[in-house]
Amino acid sequence: MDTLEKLQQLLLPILGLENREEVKPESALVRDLGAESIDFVEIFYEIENQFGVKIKVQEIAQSDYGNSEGSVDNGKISAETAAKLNADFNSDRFVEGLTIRELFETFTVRDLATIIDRKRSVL
Amino acid sequence: MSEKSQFLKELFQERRSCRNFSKRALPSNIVEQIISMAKLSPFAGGRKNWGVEVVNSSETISKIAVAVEERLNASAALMERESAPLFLEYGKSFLFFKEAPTLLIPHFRVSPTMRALLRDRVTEELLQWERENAVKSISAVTTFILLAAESLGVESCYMTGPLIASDTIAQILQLPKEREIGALVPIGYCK
Repeated sequence: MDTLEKLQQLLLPILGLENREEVKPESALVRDLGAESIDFVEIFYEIENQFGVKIKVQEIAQSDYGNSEGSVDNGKISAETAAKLNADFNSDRFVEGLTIRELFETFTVRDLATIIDRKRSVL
Repeated sequence: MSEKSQFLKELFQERRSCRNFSKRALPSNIVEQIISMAKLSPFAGGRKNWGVEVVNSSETISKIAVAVEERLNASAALMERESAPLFLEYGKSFLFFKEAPTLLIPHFRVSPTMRALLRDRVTEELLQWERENAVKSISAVTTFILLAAESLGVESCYMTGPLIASDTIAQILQLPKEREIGALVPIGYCK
């Protein structure tokens, strides 16, 4: 079972879902699957137990990307930050002007699996 | 008293626990209506930590009844000779559901949030508090089920006695391992 499949399985009870098919890789944890902020406490706990890596909420909110000078303007990401996010998450959905809140709400199951794989590769 | 309050008061007054169900079948989609109303219930931790299992199969209902009877008998066997018959007499009330056409079984999951937050510093008191939040919440869901059924002209009974065999019932229903049964609510029509 690869990271994505194992993660989908891990999320089922936490999100009150029954079938792995309901947890699509492109599903946004908050917007599509109804995860609330407090649910991430349990999600990170189970990820740590099952994958051996620690994830911080800042990585999910992707506010880490907003910490360098000029990366966020008035709460919205710059074109450079969007390009970095697209490269890091192998995506094209990040665009200039997205808010940090929108980044959190649209964070997908595949994005989470990407972070897990990245962390495991440097263990 | 407002019209809405009056309606609710009458609903509360008219609701009775049915202890003698007939075999009369329920109209189609009545269960869906009851559950859609119960979904409006409050619940600590939100909608995703509870659900309702619907049992329409008389075979499954019989299996549950057998499991409850077996557990009653096993418990009675551990009692003093004078007490056992009293307990078994009382235990007959745990089986009111067995003639009902449908069972609604609210179930819940205790989210391990405090353990995740506190790790090895979590206390028994906090774990108990977290579990009790879920137990209290599923009681609200069950109450909504009873009132929704009553409003639709369907009779019901709020049963927790059969949960003496809740582990076996969960196996019969093939509930996920993290789910616990909160109550057993037969619905239908009294004889």
